[in-house]
This record gives sequence, C-alpha cells and structure tokens, in this order.
Amino acid sequence: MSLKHMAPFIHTPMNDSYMQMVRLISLIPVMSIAVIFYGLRAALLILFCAGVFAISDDICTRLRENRHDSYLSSLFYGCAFALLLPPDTPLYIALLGSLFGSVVIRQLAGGRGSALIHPSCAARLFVRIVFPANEAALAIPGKDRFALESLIFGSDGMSYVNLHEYYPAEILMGRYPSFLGTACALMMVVGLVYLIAKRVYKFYIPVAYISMLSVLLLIGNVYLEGSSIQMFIGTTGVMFTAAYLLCDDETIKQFGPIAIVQAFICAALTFLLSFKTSGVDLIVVPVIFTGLLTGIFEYADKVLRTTWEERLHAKP
Amino acid sequence: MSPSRHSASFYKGFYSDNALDFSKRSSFDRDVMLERVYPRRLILPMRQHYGDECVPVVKPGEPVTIGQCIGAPAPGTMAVPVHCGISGVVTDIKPIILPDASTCRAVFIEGDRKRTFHPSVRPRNNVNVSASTVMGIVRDAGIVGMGGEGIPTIVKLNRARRFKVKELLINCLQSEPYADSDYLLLCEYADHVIMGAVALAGACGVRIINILISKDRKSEIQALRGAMERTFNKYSGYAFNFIYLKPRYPQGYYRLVARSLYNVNLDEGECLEGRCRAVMFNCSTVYACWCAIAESMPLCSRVVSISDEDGLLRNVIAPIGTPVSEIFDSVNGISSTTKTVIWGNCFTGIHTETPDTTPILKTTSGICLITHIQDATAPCTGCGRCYDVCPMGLEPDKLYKLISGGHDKEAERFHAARCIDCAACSYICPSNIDLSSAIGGFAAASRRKGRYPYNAVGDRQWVDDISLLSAEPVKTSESRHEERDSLTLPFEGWGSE
Repeated sequence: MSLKHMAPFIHTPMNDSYMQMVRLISLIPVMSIAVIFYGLRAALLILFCAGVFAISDDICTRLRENRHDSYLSSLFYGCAFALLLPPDTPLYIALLGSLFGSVVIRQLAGGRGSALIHPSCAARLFVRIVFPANEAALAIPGKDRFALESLIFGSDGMSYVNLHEYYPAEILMGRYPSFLGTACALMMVVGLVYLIAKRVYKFYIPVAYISMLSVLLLIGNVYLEGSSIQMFIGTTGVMFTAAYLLCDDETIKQFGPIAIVQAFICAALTFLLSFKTSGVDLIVVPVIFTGLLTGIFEYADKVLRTTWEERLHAKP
Repeated sequence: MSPSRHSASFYKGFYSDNALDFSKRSSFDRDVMLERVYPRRLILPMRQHYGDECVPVVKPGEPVTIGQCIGAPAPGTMAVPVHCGISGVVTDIKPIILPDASTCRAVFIEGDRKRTFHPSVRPRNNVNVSASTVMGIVRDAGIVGMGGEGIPTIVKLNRARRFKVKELLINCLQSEPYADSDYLLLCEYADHVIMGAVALAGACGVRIINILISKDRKSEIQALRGAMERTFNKYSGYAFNFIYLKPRYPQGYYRLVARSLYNVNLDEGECLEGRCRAVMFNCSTVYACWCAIAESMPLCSRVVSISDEDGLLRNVIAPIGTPVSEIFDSVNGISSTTKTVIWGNCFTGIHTETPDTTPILKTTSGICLITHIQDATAPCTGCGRCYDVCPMGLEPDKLYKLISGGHDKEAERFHAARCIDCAACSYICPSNIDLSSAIGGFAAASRRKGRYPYNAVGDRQWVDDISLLSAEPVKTSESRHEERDSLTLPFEGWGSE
C-alpha cells in the first residue's frame, strides 16, 4: 500500500492556464481596434513583442530547468507592452524593450511569480527613458494602414490634435493619436467587463482605482483648466491601467482590503504625476511604484490582522 | 420547543460549484439513492477513532453475529468498543496498514449471509433513561464523532459535563463537494436525529439545542422542522434553534464554529466546551446515539456517499469494516476499474491502491472516484487566492515556501501548526500546487511532537484523570431504580483475552 497523491483530488477549473487565456482574450478588443486604426504595422508590432517575450522567457526557463512556466503569461506581457508603444515604434526598440522586460525584470528575478514590478510597465519605462524621441511616434489613426517603413525607420514626429475639440462620444470611440492600445476607451471597458465576468479580476480593484482618481480629479479641477474628468480618464490611458495592468496577479495583490488600498495608492500616484508629466508615465509609473510597495502593504496587513486576531483571542 | 432563526457566517472559505445539492433531486432519485450493502466479508480495524487501539475479544474460528462486540478497550485507555456488522465467522486477526499509514490489529470476518442479530439487539421498552445511563450506552455502543475527527463521543460528553456547557450544537454542515451522506440522513431519519439530540442534551444537562445547517438545504430543514413538531409534546422542556450558515467549505470544524457563532478564536489547547460553553456533535453521531438508546444497536454501520467525478452519486448504508471494493461491487453504475479510488471525500480523503483491503471506518463518510489527478502546472505566482480562502487566516503560499525551504521555525512563527488540513488552499490554487499536504503535514508533525495539542484539546490528559471509567452510570438511588430498564449491550466477549 503506497501513498501516491494527497488531497484535494479536485481543483478549481479556474487554473493558471485558464486565467492567462482569459487575460489574453480580454486584450483582443484593444488589439483589434489597434489594427483597425493603425493597420499592418500594429499587428506586426504586437506579434513581434509577444513573440520576443515568449521566446526569451522560454529560453530562460529551459536554462533554469524549470518546465512549469506558462508561455501564456509571457504572451500577455508581450501584448500589453506592445499596446503601450506608439504605433510607429521601430522593431529594434520593441526588441530591446521586450528583452529588458522579459529577461532583466522577469527572468533574472526568478521567473514566473518572482518579478517585483510589472514586466510590461518596466519594459515600457525602459523605452521611455532610453529612447525618449520615440515618444513622438504617435500617428493619426486611419492613415497609412499598410505602411511598414516605420517598423524600420521609426517616425518623423508627433501628430498634434486638440483633444478639447472632441465630444465625449468621440473620446469613447477613439480615433485620436495615442498609443496602440489606448486609442479606444470603449474597447478597454469591453476587455475589463470580460475579465470581471470571467471572475479572473475582482471588480472592486478597477472600481476603486477609477473612483479614487475621479474624486482626486474633482478636487483638483482647478488644475484641469476646463478639461473634464471623462476627458482625462478617456484619453490618458488610465483605463488601460485599470483594465489590464492592475489585474496582474504576479505583482499586484488581487484580494481583500490590500488590493483596494493598492488601487487607491495607484490612483493617487497617477493624480500626483499628472501635475508633472503626461503620456506613458501616467500609465506605467504608478503601477511600478504600487508593485514595489506591495511588500510594505503586506507587512501592514499582517500587523493589522495580528492585532485583530489578538483582540479575538482576548478572553472576556 | 419553538424553532427560531439566527444567521451566522464564517470568515472565509469558498463555495464550490462542484457541490451536489441533494435537495434538488427527484423523489425517485432519493428512493434509489439509499441502498444497503451486504458484504461477504469485513475487515474491522481495532482503532477507528481518535485514541488508543482496542483489544480483540474474539478468536479465529469463532462465530459472530450482527451487533456483537469484537473489540473492547483496555481499562484506562482512550478507546471505544468495535462491533460486528454482519454475521459469520472470524477468519483471522492480524495487523493491517490503513491508507493513512496507521497500523493496528484488525479482525477479519467471513459472512454467512444469514444476517443473524445478537440477542441483545432489540428495541428498548422505555427510553426515558437517566443521563448516566445514556453516557454508558454511548460509551458501550462504540460511538465516535462521525464527521471525520473520530473523537469518542463519551469523551465529549464527559467534557461537556465537566465544563457545564449551556448549549448543544448539532453539526449538519457537511460541505465537502460530492459528499451528502449527512443530508440524506437528515431527510430520512430526522426524527432519530431530533430525539438523539434531546437524549444527548439531557446527558450534558443542557436545555438549548442549536442546529447548524446551510441555509440552502431546504428539504433537510423542512424534515427537521417536521420532526420537531412531531416530538413537541414529548420534549417541551428543550428549546430548538436553527442557525443558518452560508453554504461554503469548510464549515463544521469546531474552531470555525467558535469563530462564527461566538466570535472567539480558540487558542491551541482550547476547546469549544471550555471557552464557549457549548458541545457539538455531528448529526450522524446523534443518529447513532439514538439507535443505540432506542434499538440497542451499537455503531456497526453508517451512511457512505459513493461519488464519481463524472457526477454519479450513490448513498449506501454499509456495515463498518466493509472493504471499499465490496461497495463498488454492490452498487449499480459504479465502476472503479479505470479510476483513482479515494478513501474519504475528495478534499480530505487519501488515495488508495488497494480497495479490496481498505475498509470503511466509523469516520468514513465517503468514497470518491477520480478520473485523473492534476499535477502542478505552474510555480506560485503569489496571487493570494489561497490566503483569501484559508479559514484559519494563514498565508499558505508563504508557509509553503518556508516549509519547502526547511525553515521550520519561521513556519511555526507564522502559525503553520494551526492548519486544519481542509485543502481549500490547494483547491483554489491556480497553479495546482499541493499546499495543504506540505502545511497540513507540518502541522500534524508539530502536534505529534506535543507542542500543539490541537484536536485532542487536552483529551488525552483528561482521559488520564477522568478516564472512560467516569462514564460508568453513577450508582444513585434513581439509577438503581432504573437498572431493570437499562440495556444489556453485546459484551459477551469481554475479558476473553
């Protein structure tokens, strides 16, 4: 008589592969609209980044002789990174960014589940710092859908559009120069609803993030100089943060009060950063800092829970 | 006796979509679901409970009958008798190894297919017995906690009297996926459960009986309420309350009950009786107690859920000691040839490769058949889902890393020994990491070292000073007057060794 396996003998159907697949599927609306707006180069850029992330992760995993890592999570990080890039980003920049996010941030930290900060955000910040001129590669949606030269040579400069001339419905539908994945707030909302409906993402995290941000923006309305809250939320890409970056269970806690506190902190950082900077910084920097602060949040949570338990243990 | 309503909720746990709801079945399904198994042979381990091994009181070649005692506790030990569930002949007495790796002697019995009952098994004329007599019956009938822990019921009764408890809790909170033997029992034998509860309440000296049940168990609640109405005139001095809980797993563990009902966290070594002034019995245990009191039938059979991962479910009444393979042979529609056999329920059971030599015990409420066992698919991502469901408020992901890395002292510091091995963390883990085996194994090892008394909650030390001998009927004038009504339990074999 031998013991081969221990209980439990059934597991939740919501396993890791299922959740990563749901996350990937949730990106389809934003990826589709990116391809519709920016054409073939957007599709190639997304595929390229996802491929580089997956291949480099796979090579590192083989080198570490750890056969458990799921390539689905690598694909998600690669797609998320690509969706934060300007449409006219050259492939070599995408390659370097992907390698930085995958190898330096993720695999050198120990692989799956060990990264301290969001790999896609770290990769995007790397590109932002090392290639600042690339931030000007924002193209007007719908133009040159089959042009591929930007993948080699990049772009000449930014297309300026006065967002104040747009109506809320137009802001929701997109079609203004932005990053690949942040052009259409409606598609991001669709992805977010899908994630919540599939129970992969707790509704209270994006709700806490958007609510906190809205309240802070309402308080700081003077700064907005006539701009509205929906304009800020719809055009700056914070919906991308709410939908796809805060749902990362490797670097952001997904359950309980700690997850809500993290969402609040992330929103506060976004608001504070909006005084100093704009663009991709508003999207990735708060997420990176929130990820770094996770350890402190966990410690505070532990102290609070210990105090609560001691109170329960206290005999009358 | 007016049933009132309260509501309570546990701190954590989860609701499993895999749970089969017996109340939604048709009456036809219910009729065919409770089958009786007549095995050809029995394997009766001498230790089926929390405590010490019994001493066999029969010899190979000796004929036995249904209800006959075949194992009795040695004096001064924490043990309860073991009884035979079929009539036949003792073929062998030898040590066996159970799937949980415990070893003990077992009595092997070959059935004669005659179903001959022991003469002492007969309906009792007068069930208005004294508290001390009830305790004697419960002890001699070999009744133990049938929810899984297997603490001898007499020990709990002793403890309840010692701490002068004020409430009796009937645990109807079976919540493991696929397991519903308790609920079937409640539907079919609600009257027995209610009267058994009254008897135990009388033995403990309490007048308040709280029935803990999931609020989605409508038909079981209805059955219990009907039983209360039928017995209202007989036991008007007792107050019954329903306490409804959210359907989630785990539920019935005494520490969770303490937290849910009394808002207290029991320390290691504390018990429900001492801290909360309440004693809790599983509904199957209560039913067994009433069978012993009213029909002089010792604990020698129980309801077992036979479940298949594909959704097939049967509930059978099987003699204790029936080999698992015999149950499969008896039940239509169940085939174990290509499936993994789990001795117990799918969350707390143990995989066995030898169902023909693995018997049903007093604590075995289910047998599961699993198509395939999933291995870990990914490393821990630190998602925190395990923390979210842990009923003890532990951090299983961190504890797993500490224990795997050999940092035992750190694991102790993070209260790993509090783990109740409910396996909720392993179930919910998206990476299918076997967290509960590591943490539960560590907790069990810690308890064995004596650093954490855990389930014993001092039982062993109390047995040393109270012992089972204190359960002997107190020889008062009242009890002497009752002696002519008292039971003669099947103890003929006592002292033969």
